[in-house]
Amino acid sequence: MDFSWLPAYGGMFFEAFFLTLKLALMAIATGTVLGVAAGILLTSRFRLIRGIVRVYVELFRGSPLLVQLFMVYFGLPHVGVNISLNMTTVLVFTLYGGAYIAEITRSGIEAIPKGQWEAAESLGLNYFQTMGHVIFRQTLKIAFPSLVGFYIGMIKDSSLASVIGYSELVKKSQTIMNMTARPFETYIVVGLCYFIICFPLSKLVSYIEKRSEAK
Amino acid sequence: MIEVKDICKSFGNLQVLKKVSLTVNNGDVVAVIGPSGSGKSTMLRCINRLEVIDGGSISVDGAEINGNDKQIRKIRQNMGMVFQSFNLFPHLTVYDNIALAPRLIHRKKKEELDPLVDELLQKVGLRDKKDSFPAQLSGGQQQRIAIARALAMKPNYMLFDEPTSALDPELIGEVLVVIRQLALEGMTMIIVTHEMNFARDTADRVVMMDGGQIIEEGAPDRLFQDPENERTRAFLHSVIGRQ
Repeated sequence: MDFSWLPAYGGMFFEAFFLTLKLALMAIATGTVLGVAAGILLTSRFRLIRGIVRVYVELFRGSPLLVQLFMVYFGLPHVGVNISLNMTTVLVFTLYGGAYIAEITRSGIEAIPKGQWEAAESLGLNYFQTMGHVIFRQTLKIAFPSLVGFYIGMIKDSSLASVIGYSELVKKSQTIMNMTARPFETYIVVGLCYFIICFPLSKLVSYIEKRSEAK
Repeated sequence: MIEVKDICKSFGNLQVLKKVSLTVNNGDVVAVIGPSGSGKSTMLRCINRLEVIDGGSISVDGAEINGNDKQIRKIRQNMGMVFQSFNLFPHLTVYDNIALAPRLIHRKKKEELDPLVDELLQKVGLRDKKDSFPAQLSGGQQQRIAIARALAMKPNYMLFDEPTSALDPELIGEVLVVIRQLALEGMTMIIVTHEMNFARDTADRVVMMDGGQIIEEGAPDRLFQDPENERTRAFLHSVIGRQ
């Protein structure tokens, strides 16, 4: 193995690493907002609302992210919508992540004992006060490990954006490989880059899980 | 005044309430007794619409409860409920459990909430637990906090759904003391309970339920000493015999 080429390409790696982080963080942020909202709607007492959201969730959970990327990338210009590659990528990751986060949120809400709803409602709180101050606060705690677990998945899945040309780590590393002719070593570096982000996150989850068990 | 008229309630094929009627005047303390499955808790839960009745009517202060969300919230704000399993909010401190409803509904600020919470904690004898979380308290303490929380909206009515049934025997007394104190202060209350001695010395009126119906009601001394209904007699015999 030969890593002597690495210092010369450090800047490029760093830039690509930053773009991967940027994509993942944006997708996580917007996907969480969308997913939490959709998850709350999945517990709505109105069947029609539940039905509509359910269709969205199942569509995006039931097809590969790679296919969704291609569909939106090629499909949007087809229907006359021209948005940047950046926007397209974030859009797809948001919709995809939102669908999973919706399910995580829903199952978290449903895990809260019925007595919590009853206690809040018997005090005269309305639905939004009950959801906001009593139910959702407890849901967050329950859902946190699965949520971070999914975030780790999102960070790794962001590598798929390379197929439509988004210049994140994997895409950039192909360029680097062409110049260095060192595929094995390059991929080791790429893998390490993901590991540096994901490993602390999964450690964080097990730390928090242990702490709440100890309580 | 709470007027329950001919209410019916079924869960699937099981009819839990069969034309139950009950009038509770202001200042009344009504104890509801009866074997488990007799519909006591369901009746109580229908009164603040945690369960929706299938037939009959329930009026509070002359207004019949209909499906209107706003109306039922108003009624609930005036009707504290205490549950068998306490149902405190585990993510909030004792202070926040009590202050939540007045803060959200009456938009009360800290200056008003502090003395209110303090007064309620004093009433249940737990002033030193203001900053504790529910999990740090014993069952008896949790239930006393739940009573304080139910009182935070200054309700005219209180409903108690088997408030001591989930407690260890040595913790029951401290909760009953608090409820008894409320009775002395003139609070209008409906208490579903298995504590016969408590029902006898605290209630103005005892209601005996069996098989989804009220089979007998009357003054505690009369009902306990000389029950008219055979099933009341058998029930009292089996519970008091054991005590």
